Amino acid sequence: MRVTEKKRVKIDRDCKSNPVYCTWVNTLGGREQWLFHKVQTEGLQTSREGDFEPHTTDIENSRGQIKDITMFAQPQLVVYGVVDTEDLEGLKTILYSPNVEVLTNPDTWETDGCKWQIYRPQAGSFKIIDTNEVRNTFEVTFDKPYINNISQ
Amino acid sequence: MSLVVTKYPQVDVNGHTSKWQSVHHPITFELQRQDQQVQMKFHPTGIGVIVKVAGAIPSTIQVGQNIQYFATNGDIYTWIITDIQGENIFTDGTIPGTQYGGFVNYLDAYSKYFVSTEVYGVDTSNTYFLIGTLRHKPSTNGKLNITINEWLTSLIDLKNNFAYNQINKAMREEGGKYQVRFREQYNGTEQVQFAGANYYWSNSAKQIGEVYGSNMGDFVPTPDNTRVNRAKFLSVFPKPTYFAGFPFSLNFIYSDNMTSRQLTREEETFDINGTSIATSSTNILMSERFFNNRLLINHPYDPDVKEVDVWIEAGAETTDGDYYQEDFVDPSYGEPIIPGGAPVKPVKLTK
Repeated sequence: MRVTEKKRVKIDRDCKSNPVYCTWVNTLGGREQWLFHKVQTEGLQTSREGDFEPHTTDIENSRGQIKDITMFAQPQLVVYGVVDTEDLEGLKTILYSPNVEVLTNPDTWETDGCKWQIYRPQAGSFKIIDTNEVRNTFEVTFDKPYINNISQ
Repeated sequence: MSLVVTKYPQVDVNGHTSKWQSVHHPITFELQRQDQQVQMKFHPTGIGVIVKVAGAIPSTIQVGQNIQYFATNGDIYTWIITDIQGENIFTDGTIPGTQYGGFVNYLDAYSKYFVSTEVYGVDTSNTYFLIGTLRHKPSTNGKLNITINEWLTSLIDLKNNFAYNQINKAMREEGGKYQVRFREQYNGTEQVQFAGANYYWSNSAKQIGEVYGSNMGDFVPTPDNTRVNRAKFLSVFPKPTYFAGFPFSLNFIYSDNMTSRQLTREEETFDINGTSIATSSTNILMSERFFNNRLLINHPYDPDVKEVDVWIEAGAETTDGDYYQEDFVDPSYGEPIIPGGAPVKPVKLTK
């Protein structure tokens, strides 16, 4: 007796350069997955985390006035894809998932086990679909784990 | 003394019960305090109402105390006890007529009354562990609404912990079995705890207008060949994509409705023209039941396979003891004990 729906799964065997394989939780209690590839954009966002200005007693030999306590550095990754309209129904849920993880060992996961890293999709307003198009461009910007920095 | 659960967090799915609720919405048990069942209430001429209860009246019930009588039509009366004779409670009530059934609550005799609820999770060795305890006092009509989902959210882990190394795996941090146990306490004394009731949660959030509301009935497999819309997989993609060489899984609810049935993963592959190529059937691990499950598909596939249909089938019920876990308790065994009579149907209160 069949007790579930028949779920049609598409199989994609194309070679992928620069793979970024994502899984994320959806609102149903399940987990989705998608492979972004080809071109990505890497970025870096920084901010000052406090500074101080000690009193300068030796102007001639001083190296400067202001000293930074530390700097915050946030790597970012923008991934793109041209996808079928029917895939956008599932793909757009990555934009509001509270947990997105990226496979960091795509070449060795079958022997070493999966190693995941949390990437956080940036919040904002997004265009998802042009309803007159069969395929649409989809883009998502991730905040990667920030760089642990030193401080003084 | 007894509690009656007048409403469980469950829905009917074409004649079968779905006990699976979204944990991000209230999961509420509605209870009714019923201290003692009533055989009849009558009003002889010249004296107050007499309430004849079922069974012996507890010795702690005294003249001068307040009792509350709940009639079967939903009316509620609060009277003072004027005499006690055998199974008859004499009161100062003046409501005429004879009524059968209903129950009484002893408001003064059972002081400081509350219900404690213990919420249990299930660990990887299928052993219950206490998550937390709640306390609730009934409202003036003896009803309690006990909402427990906040405790279950402590079980959630959003990380992807699946190893992709077995056909199906229970993901306990994504949803599954829990148990609630109710106990009355009054006069500073804990009463006997009622047997636990097993229910199920899912790390889900349902949307406005969705069928079955916050219940996951649409996604709960049931042994029902007449069901038009069979249980859905927990995926929002109309057609998920398996990228060859990368980990992939589907998600499904391995429901309590499938107890003692062997499930199988069925597949049918198709070529680029949509022509069927082959079918396969593989047993699913029964040891992973009662939880949200990940399900692997039967990859790798031959190069000519472009799409594959995946679904789950259930075999006939089996009574083979080997299929039962050591601590298996049939869900129906865990209903609260109701001494002295049948549960009272929820009734609309009158003003």
